[in-house]
Amino acid sequence: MTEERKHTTVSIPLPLYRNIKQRIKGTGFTSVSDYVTYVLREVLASLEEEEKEEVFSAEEEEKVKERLRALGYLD
Amino acid sequence: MAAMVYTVPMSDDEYITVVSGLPRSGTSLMMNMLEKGGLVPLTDHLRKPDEDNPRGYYEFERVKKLPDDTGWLPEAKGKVVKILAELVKYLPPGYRYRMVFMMRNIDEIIASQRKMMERRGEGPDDSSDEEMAALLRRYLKMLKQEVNSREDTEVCYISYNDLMTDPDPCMDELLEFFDGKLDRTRMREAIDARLYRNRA
Repeated sequence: MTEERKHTTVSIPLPLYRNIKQRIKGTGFTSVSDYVTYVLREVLASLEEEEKEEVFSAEEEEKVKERLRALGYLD
Repeated sequence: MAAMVYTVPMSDDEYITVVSGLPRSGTSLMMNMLEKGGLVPLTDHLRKPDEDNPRGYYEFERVKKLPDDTGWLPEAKGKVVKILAELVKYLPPGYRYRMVFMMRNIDEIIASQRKMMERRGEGPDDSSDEEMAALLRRYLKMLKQEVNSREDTEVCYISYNDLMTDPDPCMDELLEFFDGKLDRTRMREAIDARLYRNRA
């Protein structure tokens, strides 16, 4: 089985890169990429938490499931 | 400018490719496209092609038994399987999932579902089309949040409407998602505008 490396490159302004490079000194982050990945995950998780405030009730979910059963997509 | 490089070592055979979405959002079309593109579909052919899906449903019945039956998942590695959006939350941890999630204008989905229910001899349910559309919009939002929050899943959202009216940007996105390893020309052949019958 061959193992491949998948890369995604994101460009950021050089001053920001230098700023982060200084900031992570002495922290557990070993690279700017690691730090930025961590920060982006935190931001996305926070956004998703905010969006979760809208609750889908059990009754509403059952209505959707009834529709899915009627269409033959759910047992 | 500085470049950040995020690397994930991963073989294609390790992924379970999933096509998901609401019923009548183009999931069977996407299965057909990915098959033409070179992926092997995991399907049992039990649900036969009909007027609603003339090219077949690409379903695998055991999927409906999630979360009780997960024994088929090892078989799905390196293949593509269609999983109803409702069941995605039951996909167990311990695998890597690569998901194409189909989006479509909700009013078109409702119209298409209505016709399909009539053909299946199902009576109308209690909800009006407007109520069901509002419900499905919120339901879809909830499902997307669940998918987006999964660390084991990479997802690519594809609009059925865009695919049928302006396919090339969607094809670019798909090819990029699959690292350019699919046969673009053959995938493009699967898109048949004549099958775009319920338009808003």
